[in-house]
Amino acid sequence: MIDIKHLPNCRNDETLIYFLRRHPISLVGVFVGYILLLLMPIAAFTILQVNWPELVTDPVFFPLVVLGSSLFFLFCWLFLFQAFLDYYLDIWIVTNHRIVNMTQTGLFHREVAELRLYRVQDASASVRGFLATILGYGRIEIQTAGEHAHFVFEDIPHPQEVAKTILQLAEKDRSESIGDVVEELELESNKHHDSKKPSK
Amino acid sequence: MIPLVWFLLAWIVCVGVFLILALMTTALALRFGLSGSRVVLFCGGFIGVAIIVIGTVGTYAFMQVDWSTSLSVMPSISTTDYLLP
Repeated sequence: MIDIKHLPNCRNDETLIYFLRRHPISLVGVFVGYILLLLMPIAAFTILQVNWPELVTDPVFFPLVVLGSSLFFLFCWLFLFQAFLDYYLDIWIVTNHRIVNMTQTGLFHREVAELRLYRVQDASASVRGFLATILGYGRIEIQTAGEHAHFVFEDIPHPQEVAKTILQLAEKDRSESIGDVVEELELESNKHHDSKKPSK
Repeated sequence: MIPLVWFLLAWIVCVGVFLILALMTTALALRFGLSGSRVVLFCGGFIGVAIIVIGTVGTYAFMQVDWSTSLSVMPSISTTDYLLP
């Protein structure tokens, strides 16, 4: 679990409500695929030993098989770890004041987006598919009034419960942050007013 | 005839590329893995397995293989028997 104080611009009264990652089942397909690939060098060695035992003792061919298999194993291991990190570094944090969305895509693409709860207009949860229904994971779409049209939480456990809590927290935050809301509305109104003025 | 040692050099280069990518991946995990000790454990497991594989294969390659031999790609052509009367 994360220490909330590590988040930027943390308020004194901010508390962690949810720390969410995709459901681990979303990793199973990738893991099974990579584990099968990792087992391939062992399977190839066994096949060689059974069918062509003279190759296993060949002083020229066998070292090449060992070097090739080790490289195959190492790169599969690396890609498996990267697939795991892709899962592990996608995080959604819900506090009593905001939602933080961190997404990692590949090695060099990371996005961090933040949304104040009072801007949340709607949170809709959807559970699609047999596995998702059985295991209770799904997607939440959060509609906002800001520039980011919506936030999406992918494959998170208990989406209905989380969506309900987010709406309750948003309502509470709106009543607590009424000053911020008014200030923001005034700013938007001024911007709108300025854009309507004829340019000279 | 391809000297066998070329394959060893190619393996060393590929392991070097792997190590650079592994270092970048581990650095990324440690920088952005917010959960502290757990991510260190995962990185340790990843690096540990990689070191065991590289160490085992490296020990085998440097201790038990005779790299002075060559690989004959087309044995029937590379042999000089056909020149004999």
